[in-house]
Amino acid sequence: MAKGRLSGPLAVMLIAVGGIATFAGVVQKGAFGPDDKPPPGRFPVMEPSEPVEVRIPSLKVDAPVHDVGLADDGSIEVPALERHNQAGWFEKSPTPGQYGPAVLVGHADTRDGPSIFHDLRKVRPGARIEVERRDDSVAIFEVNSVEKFAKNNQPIERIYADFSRPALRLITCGGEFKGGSIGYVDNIVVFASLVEAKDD
Amino acid sequence: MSGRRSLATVALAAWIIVLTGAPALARAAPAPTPTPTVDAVPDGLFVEVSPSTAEAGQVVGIRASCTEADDDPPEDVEPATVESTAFGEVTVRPQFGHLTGAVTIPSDTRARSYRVVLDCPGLFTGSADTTINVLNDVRPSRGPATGFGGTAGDDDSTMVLTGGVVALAAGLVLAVLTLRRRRAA
Repeated sequence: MAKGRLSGPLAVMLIAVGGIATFAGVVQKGAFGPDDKPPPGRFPVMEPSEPVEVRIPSLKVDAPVHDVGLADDGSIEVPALERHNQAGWFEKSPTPGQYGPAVLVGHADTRDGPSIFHDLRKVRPGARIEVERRDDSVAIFEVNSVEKFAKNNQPIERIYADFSRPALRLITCGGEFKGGSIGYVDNIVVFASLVEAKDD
Repeated sequence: MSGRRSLATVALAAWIIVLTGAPALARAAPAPTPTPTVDAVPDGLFVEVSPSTAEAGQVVGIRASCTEADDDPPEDVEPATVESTAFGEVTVRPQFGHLTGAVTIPSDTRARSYRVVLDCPGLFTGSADTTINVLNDVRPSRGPATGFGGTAGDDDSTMVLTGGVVALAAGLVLAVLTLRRRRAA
């Protein structure tokens, strides 16, 4: 009969734990988070100046930026492993604040642990991203959406070819981890638009 | 002493320039001729390109005005020319009180910044100017390899949610069974 006496409290506990976990799961899925945020109609435009630093206050990211080019396989080069806590600005893209999408790439992690853009998928639409530039001005972007694409099947035009306004793309790795030469299957792409230009 | 001597040197240099007529140096010498710089642009004249940063091969729109602030009527009625090394010459025509036009930047244009100059009829070349930044459409064909550790994978919300639902269901089933057994006992 011991089994019978225990089953009551066990049922209560399972219901409680199950309820809490279900709720947590739903919250984590982003059911109560803000939806994608469309960019405002008016926007500033800045003169060209290369980025030197990127800050994402909501993720406590504050990192130097250096230039990166195109790798042989047609992907954007990534910062060298010893600079895994820096972001790379794709030198063929506009500088942040100019018309068009400025592209910054950063590592999610290395074998030693998390890197600069590890938590990028957690950034929320509406969050601010600040890019300090060589001319001491600061380009302030607002996140519109955070999306995930397979590495070999990306909406290239949407990510790299929208010149309708000054914008920013932050790219890192995510999705399933395969390891080896593949690494992660997907890329996390943050779409953001310029909302403010600050001189020094 | 040295001040007076340098003054004399400048005067001598100027004299030599005038005598030899060296054109480049003569232009550098302080002359009262107005140069078509931004400061000399009469009020109201402008030229702008949108977007001011574009890829080679893209179409850009041009807006300009050759009307000075105190002109009558205060709107553009005559076409003008806009020129740039980036796209050659293009005619802008009156529309909605300003001059407008559009031009395709040739796809073989080299990536850099180019000056864009407005030539108003009856005014100096370079009535107003602006800059267009040309980029090449170098686009990555696949996503960057930005992770090696495997710590940043998908979030665990699916697992948490599934676990939660399973536990909840098990708890409910167990509760029903217990109540039934108690009622039977």
